[in-house]
Amino acid sequence: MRKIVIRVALIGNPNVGKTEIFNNLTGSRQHVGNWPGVTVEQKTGKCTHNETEMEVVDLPGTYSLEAHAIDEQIARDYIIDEKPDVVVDIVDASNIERNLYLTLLLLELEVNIVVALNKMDIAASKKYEFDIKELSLLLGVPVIPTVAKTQSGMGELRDAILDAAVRKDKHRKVTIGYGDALEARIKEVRDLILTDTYLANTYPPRWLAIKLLEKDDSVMNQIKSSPKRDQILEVAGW
Amino acid sequence: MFGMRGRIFGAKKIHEIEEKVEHVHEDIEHVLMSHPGNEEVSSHLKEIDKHLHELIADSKSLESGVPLGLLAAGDEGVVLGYCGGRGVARRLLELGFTPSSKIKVIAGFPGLLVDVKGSRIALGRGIAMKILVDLDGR
Repeated sequence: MRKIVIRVALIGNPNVGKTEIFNNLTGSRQHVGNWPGVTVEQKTGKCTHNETEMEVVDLPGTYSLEAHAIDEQIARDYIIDEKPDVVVDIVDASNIERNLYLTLLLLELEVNIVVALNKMDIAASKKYEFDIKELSLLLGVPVIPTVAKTQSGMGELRDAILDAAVRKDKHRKVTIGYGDALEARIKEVRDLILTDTYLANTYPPRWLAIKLLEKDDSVMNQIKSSPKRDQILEVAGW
Repeated sequence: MFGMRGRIFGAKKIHEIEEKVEHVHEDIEHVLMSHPGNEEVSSHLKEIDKHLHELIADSKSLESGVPLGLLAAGDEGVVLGYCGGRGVARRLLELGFTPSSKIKVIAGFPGLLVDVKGSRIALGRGIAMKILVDLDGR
């Protein structure tokens, strides 16, 4: 039997049930509070599914991947630098408009995502209906409906995590377009990033180009040691 | 775009600006009347006139806006826009204060606790003053 450990990170907005899903997956008994911001440090647990070991990390709740506060910084750095094999994006089905923003940011980061559409019971009580297949198709990632409280959907979620980990075509086919004018600029910056092989192999070039054009200070860490740094910054209009 | 203006116009200020725009409009009319026949100049002037009126219409739409920081617990409204730089705007968008989203103030002192898109967001008064809310917008 091959011994593989799959590294899984759980991410999501505050108060979507990340820690509950973490506990369900790992059988641990982490404290779950009914208020946001319970998870500030990083918690790790292990579990085995179909003879494959998974190491699960519960990240702090975050609305975005910018580096405003220490908990958001932890989530961002972990995803970007540690590159987990699978990122489980936990989406509150009863509050989906707000939650899908983080999903889009993760799509742009080209991470290997599985969406857990949690709190399906509350969404149902609000008379929300979901076309799971269509949502999965639009996002280009698997979408698993769950109710963490009653452990519903956990088996499917584990299966989806394993599938995603062994999936060969990790690079998604769904790209978020920004219109012709911006796309021309993104391509310009991206092409320049591609000339630095190390940089282009370490971070998704399109993501890096978009962040640079957004004037996101925190990507400075990513490009500061690049020999092309000055050129890239100039083209990105810094 | 509201966010570009960088400061809040009071109703009185808007009225003053409107009067000035009206003067410029009359001047433009006058020039057009006294120098007929120059198609290029007149089309340019008409364009300027149009922009001025758009500008005043934009400012007027802010007239009904109140800074979120001035609201009290129980108040409800719709986000109109922001005053401030790109950093502020981006952070507020991330937190879900997208223009035309409904908000409700849960607590108003000492900081604000605001319900937006199903989440309760705590805001300092400083940043809350930069969010313009339309109270009449249901």
